[in-house]
Amino acid sequence: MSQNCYHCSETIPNGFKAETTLAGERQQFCCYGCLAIADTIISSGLENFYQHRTQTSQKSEEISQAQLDELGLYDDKALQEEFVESFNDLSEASLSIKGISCAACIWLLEKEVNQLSGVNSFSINHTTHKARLVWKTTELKLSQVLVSIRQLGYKTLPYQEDLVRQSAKKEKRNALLRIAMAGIATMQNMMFSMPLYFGVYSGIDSEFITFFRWVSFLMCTPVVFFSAWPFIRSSIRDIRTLHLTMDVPIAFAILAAYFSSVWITLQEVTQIETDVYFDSVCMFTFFILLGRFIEMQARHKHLNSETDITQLLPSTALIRTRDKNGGFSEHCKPAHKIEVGDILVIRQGQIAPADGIVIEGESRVDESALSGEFFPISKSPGTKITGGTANIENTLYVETCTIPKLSRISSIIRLLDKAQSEKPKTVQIADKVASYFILSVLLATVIIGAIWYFIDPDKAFTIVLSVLVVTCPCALSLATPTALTRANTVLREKGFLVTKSHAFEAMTHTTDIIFDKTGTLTEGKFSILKVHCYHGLSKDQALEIAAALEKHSKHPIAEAFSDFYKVDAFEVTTHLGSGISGKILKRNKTDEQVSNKSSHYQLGNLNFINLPINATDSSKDLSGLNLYLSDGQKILAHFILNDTIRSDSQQSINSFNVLGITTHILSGDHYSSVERTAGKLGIQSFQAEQSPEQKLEYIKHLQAQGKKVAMVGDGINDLPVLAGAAFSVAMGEASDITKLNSDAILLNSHLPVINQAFQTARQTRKIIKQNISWAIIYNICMLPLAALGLVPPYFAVLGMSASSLFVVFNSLRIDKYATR
Amino acid sequence: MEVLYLLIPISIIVIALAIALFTWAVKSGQYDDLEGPAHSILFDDDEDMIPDRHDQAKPKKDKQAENNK
Repeated sequence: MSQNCYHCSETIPNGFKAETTLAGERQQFCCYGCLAIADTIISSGLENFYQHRTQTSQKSEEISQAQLDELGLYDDKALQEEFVESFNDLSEASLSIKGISCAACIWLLEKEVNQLSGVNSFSINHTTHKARLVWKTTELKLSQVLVSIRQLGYKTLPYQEDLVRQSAKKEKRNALLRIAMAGIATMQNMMFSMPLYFGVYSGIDSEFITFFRWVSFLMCTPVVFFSAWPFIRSSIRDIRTLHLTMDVPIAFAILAAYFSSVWITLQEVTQIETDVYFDSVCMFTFFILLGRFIEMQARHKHLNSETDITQLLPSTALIRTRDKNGGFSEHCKPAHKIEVGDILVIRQGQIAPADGIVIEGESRVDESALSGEFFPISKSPGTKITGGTANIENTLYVETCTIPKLSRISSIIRLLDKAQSEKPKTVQIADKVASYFILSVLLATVIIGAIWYFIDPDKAFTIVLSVLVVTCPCALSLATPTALTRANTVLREKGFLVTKSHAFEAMTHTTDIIFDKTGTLTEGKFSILKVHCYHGLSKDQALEIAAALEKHSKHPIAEAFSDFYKVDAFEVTTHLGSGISGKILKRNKTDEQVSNKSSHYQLGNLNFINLPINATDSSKDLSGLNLYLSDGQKILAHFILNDTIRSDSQQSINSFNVLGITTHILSGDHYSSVERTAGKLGIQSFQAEQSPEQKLEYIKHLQAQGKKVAMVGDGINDLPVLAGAAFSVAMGEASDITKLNSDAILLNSHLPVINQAFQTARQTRKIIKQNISWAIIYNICMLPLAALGLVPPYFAVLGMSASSLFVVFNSLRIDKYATR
Repeated sequence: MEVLYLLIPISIIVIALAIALFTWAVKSGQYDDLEGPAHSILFDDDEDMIPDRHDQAKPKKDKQAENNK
């Protein structure tokens, strides 16, 4: 019987009963935390949440007194300074909310917070997850709001408007204005040009021709100089740097059509056949802007989580000070006020807010995020602790040696900026082709114009114009974007999100791919590799007992046993750093009934058990973490735990070999464990115990040999390498800052999807080549005809549209079946 | 047809107004969230605003809940 929690969808432990009535039905919950959240939701009359949500909610954590104290700290005026503005008795705070998975979450939060008395308004932006809270300071404390948000299972952080987000906001607003301008002008210009088009057939007064041309000119001018300005600006830059991109033909087409139309208007050529192109200019600009806007929206989506590294560190710190009597007292302090020499108290499960040196206490620390080192590192007085690492055992007292802003984690970010600026640029094939093409079209136009000027000066201008229209790089400019859009859609359905536009081009050139080990090729968490059982205990029984004991531990090891949790242990004591002991009710083997007898068990390392190893267990397996289970007299079971390789890693490595791409492992973990992983997967070149700097060195070394390097990683320590590689993929579980700095994100952690992405990239490149060839061949065929004055304007326009359509349909051929 | 000389300038003025209005709307942040409004119409949180319907069963229940509050 496996029933799932109504709130978080986790399996409900056997024998656990927590339920409430919801919409007339009894619903089960996995823990009292989830029940409490559901009760809060129901008592506020918000049970609709469960119908509206599209994803299950985060599992709740009970709010401890320590967390309440931490939230209470936000009432401090000094800490509020950064994100709160006050007017009289009203205050406005900007908060960043974490844990929002769908629109229903936002609805729930808005409803709940707005019900609090003293809250004036509370609204959340769906894209950025930024909340704006206005409340009466006399009636309500900020921490009360934060607690009520926390009770619903969401976390809040002060929102920091950094430069990236600021510029994103500005960029978006500008883009919207440009699109609106172009869109409105397009509609209006269509109306003004109708009389000109129909005038050809039904006759029109010449004074009206001039009038409508002037009106169209009026509507079109702001489109060219405001809406199309980004294209013009970047093409000026491109011409200066002699690196022609797609913006050059776009800007050129817009400007040429505009100025030729202006010239016709000024000349007051009353022949209706000599057309003006103001409407086409507007529509062309509008569609190109629309495409760019959609691309930009996708890019900005990843900005919603924190981009600021200081948010990886806790925002508050517990400081120990000496009071007058010579004793110690502890108090909370905002993290940005930590000074060198402060004594930090880091309890079990907490994250160090700054770098420092341990002065008291012994514990082990999880540094995997920073170094890739999978096993926790022992810390004793005199050893260094890095900000951002998590303490997993005993309380540590640490003397800070740098303020958080100068900590190791921040220096990695500085390395990241450097790596990014040196990132090898992948020139898009379309850009290369386009620059030659544009150059030749320009030359041809000038030559044709000159020749016709000698033959027949009256006709010269119309001919030049029709050459320009025929050779309008419309299909050429669509060739790449349509193919890329299609490839993006196909890959997104598979869970591979491409965030930077050069990614596809970079993928097709890749010769070497580097994997991080922990969390990329492996699961990144402990799991049980092997169980040896002794004295007639079955494997299931051993796991059940171990799981019951580990349920009471917060150590990362405990998670490995959580799947086997069935019975509950009592009188459990955790012996920090060594093991755990407790009592479990004995089961009667025959009828599964629980008797009143209980027996005492111990689970831990060999020193803790303090018993000789069984003779049969001569091989003490060193390849992982060894845990022993005893009943006080004899060892009952031996568990070997380690980080396991993902089930599909092998398949992915094999397919890369088939594609002819060399695979590497670059890890911060110990040599032996990296060697074992590399051996199992058949990867020849691997580097272990690498610092972020060394990792970056390694790929620079490969790049110096002319190799095109791609990188797959997840940790903070992989950041500089991800930024430095020509193409980088972040795993879906990676921290937000890692995702933001990579070119693509693997949402579902299925490594073979990366192989499919590489295949799709190759196919996309093929399609782009076809599109470009088509566009160029079409233009080359039409150019001589136009040069001879044989192409009437309406045919030029028809041909251009048909050629663009051809490109669009060809791009649609990239599909998911081809990548199988 | 001379009326065109009046009507078309008027239409341009109207467009200029529309663009000015849109610029104001964008600058005041009304377009910062393009996704939210699409979802918010799906939430049935406006039951108390719907005038009495003929099926009496549900509204009654709601009213009771209101009274309890």
